[in-house]
Amino acid sequence: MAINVKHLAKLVQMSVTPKEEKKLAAGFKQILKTISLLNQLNTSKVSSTFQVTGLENIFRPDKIDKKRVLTQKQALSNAKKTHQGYFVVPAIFK
Amino acid sequence: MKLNQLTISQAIKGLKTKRLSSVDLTQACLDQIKKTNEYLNSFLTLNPQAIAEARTADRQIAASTKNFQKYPLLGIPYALKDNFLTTGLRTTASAKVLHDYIPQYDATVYSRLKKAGAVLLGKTNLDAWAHGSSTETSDYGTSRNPWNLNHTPGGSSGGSAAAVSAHQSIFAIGSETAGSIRGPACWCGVTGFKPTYGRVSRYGVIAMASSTDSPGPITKDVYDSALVTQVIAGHDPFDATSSPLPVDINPSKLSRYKKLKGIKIALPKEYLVKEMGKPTSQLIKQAVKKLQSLGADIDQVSLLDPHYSIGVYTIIQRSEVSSNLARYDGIRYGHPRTAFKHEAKNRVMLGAFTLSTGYYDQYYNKAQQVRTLVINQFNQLFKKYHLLIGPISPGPALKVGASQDNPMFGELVDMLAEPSSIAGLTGLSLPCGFVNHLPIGLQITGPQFAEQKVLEVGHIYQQNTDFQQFPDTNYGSI
Repeated sequence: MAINVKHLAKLVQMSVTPKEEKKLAAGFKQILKTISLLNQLNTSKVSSTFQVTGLENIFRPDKIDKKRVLTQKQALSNAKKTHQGYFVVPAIFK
Repeated sequence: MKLNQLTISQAIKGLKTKRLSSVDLTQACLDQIKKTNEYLNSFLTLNPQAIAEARTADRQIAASTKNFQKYPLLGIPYALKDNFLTTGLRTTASAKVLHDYIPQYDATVYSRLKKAGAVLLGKTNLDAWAHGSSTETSDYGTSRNPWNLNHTPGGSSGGSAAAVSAHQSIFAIGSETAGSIRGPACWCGVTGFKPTYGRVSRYGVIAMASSTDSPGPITKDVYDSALVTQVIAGHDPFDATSSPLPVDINPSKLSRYKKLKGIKIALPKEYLVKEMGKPTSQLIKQAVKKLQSLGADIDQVSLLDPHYSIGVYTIIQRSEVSSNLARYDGIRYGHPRTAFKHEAKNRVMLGAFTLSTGYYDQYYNKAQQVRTLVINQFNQLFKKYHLLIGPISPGPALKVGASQDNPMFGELVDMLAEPSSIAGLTGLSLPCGFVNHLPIGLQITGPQFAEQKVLEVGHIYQQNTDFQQFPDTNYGSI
């Protein structure tokens, strides 16, 4: 089965050159072949495991932990573009 | 012996008896980093506060040596893999996307080490985003194996393993998704310990695969691994997946047994994989004999072929990576997504595919079902056996360049770590000999939360063997 690399790149917001597209497609083919080994195993009556230590429904108190709250200055400190205390994001509408 | 060559326990003894100071110890490590880093490329960033932190530790030691009870790693210099957040100190995950990222909060592992009095030397190289098993995907260049500079140190915690092996640091912290602590520890000839999933908090660790990521130590012996794990393990309210079970790790009890009488160990025959060379398999057989001579009861058993785990791990890892790397938008921090390099693209895209509508059941869900099969088998095995052993890597460190044009390099190299990782088990890798002057590692793996048992058996093995050796690091004169 062939994977549409261009379409996937668009979905994950990544850019690929035509040369890269070719390399990725060849790699995906190889990987899918290796993982197809799993089809040898019958799992029709096996449930899935998503969490291995069996923890379920972990909650925390619905309270603000002030020690962990970043100041506005801290929160913005790594942003490339800010404006009057806000993050500047790329425009979505034209 | 130079100060940077000490183990943690030796250094603590020296500090307690005032034969050395933390400043001396820290300076000795910094000198070794200065001398060897151009060859090894193990450190990406140095902590400008290291000597100041050491001075503070010395003041606390001068005040009272009883402070070691309160601060068990007081004055001990260490290296931290560069995917652990450190407030005010650049953290990149070896990816140019985070080239100038300065964290505003600390990873729990880092804050616990700080509280224990340890002195941070700097941040070590890894495969970019921890995607790889050789450090070759790092955007800051490949680290080199201290035993032979033409070989990789393994990965993803390659910088941390190289730093410990080359005596640049007294110990180091790595993180493992499947083999990223135990693999490089094996290839660099040091001791690497992966605690149970959830035993050590993932808070503030740049996420790779959230359902298997496990931070852990890389050290110069098993005893030191126990010392460090005791400090970093335990429940953390900031990580909902961290375990609330009490920590049952006690370094002082590692020597309570001198023999392995009554210890039942399984040797899965499928772990002696076809990719493994004869010299490596000989060393594993020798290790089995050694453990038997120490009183262990070892049976050969049969488990699912680890080649199945490659498929399970690849799907789960790619899927979780695609979700975890979606947050990097270059707006709040970091650079835009155009800064991602090939390996991250490879993983994110495949993960998006295995999670997508129409393919979810065929890939992602299938992998999680086979994961259940792997777990069930381990559960059955550990009803009869305390631990399992085997090789941790099919052979010694590969040459730099080996991962090129191999989209599954990491998965193949790590296939013997993957079953235990997808099941969330705890495991140790420790040196068991050399092939072509390169170290080989033995894995000792136990059920979830059996850290103490794994460490005890590893400790006894290490006390009775002489494989924990260190390379000559006079690279300039070679």
